[in-house]
Amino acid sequence: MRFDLDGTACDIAVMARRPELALVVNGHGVRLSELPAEQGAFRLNVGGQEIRGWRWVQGDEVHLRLNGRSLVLRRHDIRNEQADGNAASGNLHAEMPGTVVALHALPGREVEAGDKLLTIESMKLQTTLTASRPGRIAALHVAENASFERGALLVSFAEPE
Amino acid sequence: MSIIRSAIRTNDEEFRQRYAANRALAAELHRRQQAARHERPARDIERLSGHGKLLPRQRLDLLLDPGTPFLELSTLAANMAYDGGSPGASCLTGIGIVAGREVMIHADDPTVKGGAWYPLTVKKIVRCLEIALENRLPVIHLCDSAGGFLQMQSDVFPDKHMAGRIFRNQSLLSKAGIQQLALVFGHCTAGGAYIPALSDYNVIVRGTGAVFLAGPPLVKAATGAIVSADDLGGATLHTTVSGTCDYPANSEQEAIAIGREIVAQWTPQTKTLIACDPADPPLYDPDELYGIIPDAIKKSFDMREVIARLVDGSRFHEYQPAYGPTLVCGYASIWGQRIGILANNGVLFNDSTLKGAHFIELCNQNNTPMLFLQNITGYMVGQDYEAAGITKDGAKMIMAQACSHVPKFTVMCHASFGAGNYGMCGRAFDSRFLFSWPNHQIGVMGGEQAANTLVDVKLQQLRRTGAAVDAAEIEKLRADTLEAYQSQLSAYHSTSELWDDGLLDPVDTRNALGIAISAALNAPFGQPGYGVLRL
Repeated sequence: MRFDLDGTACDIAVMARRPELALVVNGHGVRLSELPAEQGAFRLNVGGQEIRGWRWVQGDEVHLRLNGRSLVLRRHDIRNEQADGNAASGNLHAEMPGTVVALHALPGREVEAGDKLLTIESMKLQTTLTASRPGRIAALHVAENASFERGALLVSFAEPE
Repeated sequence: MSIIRSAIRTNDEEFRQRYAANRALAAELHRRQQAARHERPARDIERLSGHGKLLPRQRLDLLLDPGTPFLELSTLAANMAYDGGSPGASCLTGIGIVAGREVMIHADDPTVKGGAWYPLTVKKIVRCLEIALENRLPVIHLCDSAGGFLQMQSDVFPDKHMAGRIFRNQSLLSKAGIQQLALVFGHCTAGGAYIPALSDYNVIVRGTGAVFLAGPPLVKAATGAIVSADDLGGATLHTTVSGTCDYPANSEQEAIAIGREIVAQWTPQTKTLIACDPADPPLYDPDELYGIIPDAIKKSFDMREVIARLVDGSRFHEYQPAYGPTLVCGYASIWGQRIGILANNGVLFNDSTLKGAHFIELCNQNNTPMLFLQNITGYMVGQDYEAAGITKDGAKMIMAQACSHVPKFTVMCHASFGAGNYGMCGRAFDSRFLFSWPNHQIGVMGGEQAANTLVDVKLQQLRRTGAAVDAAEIEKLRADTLEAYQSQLSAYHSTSELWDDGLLDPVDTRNALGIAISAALNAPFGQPGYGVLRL
């Protein structure tokens, strides 16, 4: 399972739960067991070495205080890595036929992930399509009011330099 | 379980526009509900108090356990019918707590034409008894009605789902072991007389309460006999001679106290067990729903943002998060009651349709009630999609959904157009409860599409006959059609016709569903099984 530890991806697999927890963390085997808590601090035995720290769970985030550092651990969102090809290049293809209602981006502009690119209408429904990654817009391949077929390239991103 | 991470920015211009638009819709809803509940001509209210009678909502307040919630159903039924002459369809229905038991309440409203039943009054009472049957809810009738509205008798009396259905449902409730109590505050005339007579228990108020097949005027017309209402069907006659009524009461307040004691004798229902979760409130403020719901029917929104403001702790275990993304499926809980949610996030394609059908089967296998959040403009059309089997995939989803044995709940969150309404458990598919938001629109197609289709047909007719095409006339046809269509699409029209169980201010949705799911668990889930799925 993938976690995000202060912005760094972290792959953790549980190999065994008994007699003690055995994990593979980013390819390295780790054995650990939990010791009784002391004055609010949690204690772990990690490969014979004792680690103390504090943790606070808020929603699906775990805030940690370890070795004088504050860290935030959260589950990696699987929707961020859809393998539909659109995500990797940033290029935006139409998932269904429709027409262009409005363009929100300009060629040559830098955009952030989540920024609005264009609004399309199909099946009585207007949908605003957003950038899947940060980058520079190379070209908008459709004009306002133009119609397009399924699979048509709508927006292309410049190659990262 | 994962927590939904909201992407909403409350400082965005779009959020603020939508917020203002939806707050205005909610204010309008509250204004109309207030009028339907309380605004009556002073002389009607004075006439009642002159007879020592309470208003329907005063009776309700005395009946319910103090401090408990009451889920009123179809407050705005008939709001667009009879020139506004029948607020709330002249009756009050809803689910409340009496002596610790969840019960269905049906109260006549004598402030409107003596509580006479309009066609939509009958539809509302029949629906309330249907809910009682489906969910095994005991019923308390607060009777004070002049009987059927004679001027409209052909729409009140003869058909299958008209007045007779009230008495048929009452009989089946009793047969199924679901108790009914009638409190007779006023006259129960003609058909209305059968409501206390078919109730397992009834209480009648001395002086004002009366039960008879024909009132004094009709008796005089039929036989010439002159008799007072009290002698003909009052408390003394029915509790000492005829045995039609069980308990006499000296006032409305006493009748209600006796009624509460009767309900306290009933063996409480054993609830169907489902998975339980912590019942903590959502992490995100439901008030933000106003800024999420679009200000135009064509605009889309991420239904996960709605789920995040509806379910316990905003926790959502999403099923197939990367497949068929236009239908969001997953498990969550409301008031601690585990449910499976199916929510539209765009047009239904083949993959999202198959995902929906599969998730419906999973919920049935898991005995998990289902919540459908509708914002659907249809199943995808076009040759590519037909070739890929969109029609038979839609049929699979409808089949799985219609045959489900777990309780279903539907909220009309925005658009409900075309066959998507069917797959997503529209009114025809027996949701235990179906609620709508005031921004909701429903129709076989959108207003613009309908207007354009009709204009095309008209143009073809003109071309065939060789008549000249008057552009202004065509534009007028388009505008008129659009206007007529729009008023029928509106949520106020839907709820007027009882196509739903009431309109909800979006921020109240969580509590309404909490009560509805809890009520549904009074009934066992039935037998699993499906028809033939076209694979």
